[in-house]
Amino acid sequence: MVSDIEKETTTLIKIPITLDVPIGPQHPALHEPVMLKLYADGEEVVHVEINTGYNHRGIEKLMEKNSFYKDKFIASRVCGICNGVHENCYTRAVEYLADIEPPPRAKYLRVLVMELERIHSHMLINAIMAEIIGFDTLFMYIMRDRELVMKAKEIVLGHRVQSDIHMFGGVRRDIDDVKKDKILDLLNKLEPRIKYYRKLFEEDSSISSRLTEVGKLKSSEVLNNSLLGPILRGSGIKSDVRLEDRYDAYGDIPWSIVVRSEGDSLARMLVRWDEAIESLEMCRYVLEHLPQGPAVVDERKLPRTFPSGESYARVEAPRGELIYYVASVGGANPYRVKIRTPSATNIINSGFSYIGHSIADIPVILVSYDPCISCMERAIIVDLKNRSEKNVPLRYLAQTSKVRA
Amino acid sequence: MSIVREVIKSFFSKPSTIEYPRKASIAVEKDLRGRHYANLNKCIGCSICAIECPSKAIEMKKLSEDIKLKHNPRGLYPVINYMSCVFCYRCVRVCPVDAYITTPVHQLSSVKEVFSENLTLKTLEVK
Amino acid sequence: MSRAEDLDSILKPYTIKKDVMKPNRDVYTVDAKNIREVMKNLKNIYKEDLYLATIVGVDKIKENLFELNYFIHIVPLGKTIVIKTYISRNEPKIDTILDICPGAYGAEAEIYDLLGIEFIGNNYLRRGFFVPADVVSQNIYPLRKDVQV
Repeated sequence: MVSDIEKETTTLIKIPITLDVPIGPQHPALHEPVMLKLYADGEEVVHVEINTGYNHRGIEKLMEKNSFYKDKFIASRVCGICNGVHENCYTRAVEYLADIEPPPRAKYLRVLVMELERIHSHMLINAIMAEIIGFDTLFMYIMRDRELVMKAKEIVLGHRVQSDIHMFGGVRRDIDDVKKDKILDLLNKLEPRIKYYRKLFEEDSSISSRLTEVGKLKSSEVLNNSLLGPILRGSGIKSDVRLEDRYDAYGDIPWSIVVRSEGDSLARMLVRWDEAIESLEMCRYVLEHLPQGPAVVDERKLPRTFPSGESYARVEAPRGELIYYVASVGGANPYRVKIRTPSATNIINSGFSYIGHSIADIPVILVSYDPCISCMERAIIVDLKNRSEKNVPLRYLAQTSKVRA
Repeated sequence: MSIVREVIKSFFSKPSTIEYPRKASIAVEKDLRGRHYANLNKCIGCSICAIECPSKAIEMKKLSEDIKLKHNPRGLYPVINYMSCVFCYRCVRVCPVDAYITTPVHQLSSVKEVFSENLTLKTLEVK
Repeated sequence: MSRAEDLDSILKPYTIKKDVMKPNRDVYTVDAKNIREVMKNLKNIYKEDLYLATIVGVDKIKENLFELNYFIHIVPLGKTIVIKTYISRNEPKIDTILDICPGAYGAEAEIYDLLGIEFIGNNYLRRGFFVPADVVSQNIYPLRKDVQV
């Protein structure tokens, strides 16, 4: 069956995405690329195959051998960009299992950490979108302003990237008034910049000509294939885990959900900028309304073993809905831990949406789904007529093909 | 609107790149999670930090024969391998007597200062 | 009209037991033979306003069973329900729901590769989807409890 397709098409493009899993504590997990094989006839994509092989599963077997506490540190090292939400989901799953309730001040601090992470992740993916279509100036500007968020994270967490702040029953660090003023200062400097970038994305002619009407998804297609996060909200469906589950302090903080109805790549990027502006407002509200009371939990007094049962926690990561399922039979080690990241589902289930587009649009669509793209490799173009291969970076695909009709 | 106005403004201001570490140094927070080591005046040798470390970076070593401490009957003290440590600070928080000293030192790539042994043994001399 | 009661009555003919999983998610235990009809009924009533979040397989070696949990999220109600089935460990086969819910592609492929449960009717299953080649060549399923990797 494959040879039929090979007869009609002229080029085959293989896009390997390496999803690197930096698991520092025990050993580097095995990793293999995810390969997106696209068969193209001239300029148009006619057939898609997804060849996977990435391994994130070393972690699930590893977590069964370690205690609940060590697993928390392993869980926070699954992803570099969204480590705060991984920690939060695991911590809440175990808290539901053992019926521990954290104090209100700890809940507000957790929200602060997760929202700061959302801002920096959305700025990163928008910068990469700008770089892929060739707008290097904008990429540099967004990265420069992202440094303000990294400094704010360093003040709260003690580290720019890795947030080891969650613990069962509360948090591990606290902030005082001096730190609060410093963070508010940084947020005030950041706000006009984000608003400027959002306006630029909507009005600039080079961005809108590359992004409008590209990768249009209808709402029924999105739901059938379980695509999540800003993809869902960019196609008109009102669904957000923070609204539905109201975990931590999201029930108390006033915020509104961002939904757009067009369903193309530009709508998805604009959903992300609007969410970044909402997150900034939420951070300000949290800092000004922090309740008094204890927040730091004493780690010496936590229980050694946890009761048996199962629990299921969901959290809204910047890329979608993240799920942790924890089952325990009593004892100090969990029986089964299942992690389902949103990027895995978004990339593997979305093969149908590339068909009919031209080659130059493929990187744009792929980046608008937001894979953990900091580990993205080069694409391999196989010219099927001459059987020659060459390695090109993804930017080459996006920039040097013929102009779209 | 276009980005041209922004570009012209940046052209006339100084570059944002900080040339670290050759020409400038950066200011970090005072409670950054940096290099930490045990204080022998307080350590009781219970080994809880070595058991709880997620990356198995702490090893308990025996004190030399001429040092006898009343609060450390077994004569063990922790030595951290900074190459394996992930700086999660679990050892700092779980110690029953708060025997760890924390510093914001973060420039740690070296082949000579990999273990915390010298820093820990020096805490006995300050008396 | 409250659709939560609809849910109980739709699933009533198939439900063997109803439970609650923390934190307050309803669990319906059904028989493994009926899984396709249950999914079809749910899709008909809610008219595409639901998505399959994930499928989790648990190896219960003491009772000689595999447990499969289907997590389905219903958008208008804003809640997630769990459908739980058990299949025997000696003959792990169950019907696929790929034609009803195309979103199950990634989940079913992963469970086949890691636990060895075969989904009848799914042509896209293959070993080596997630597991690296040297483990595949030993012909073992890594996540089972009696396997050392």
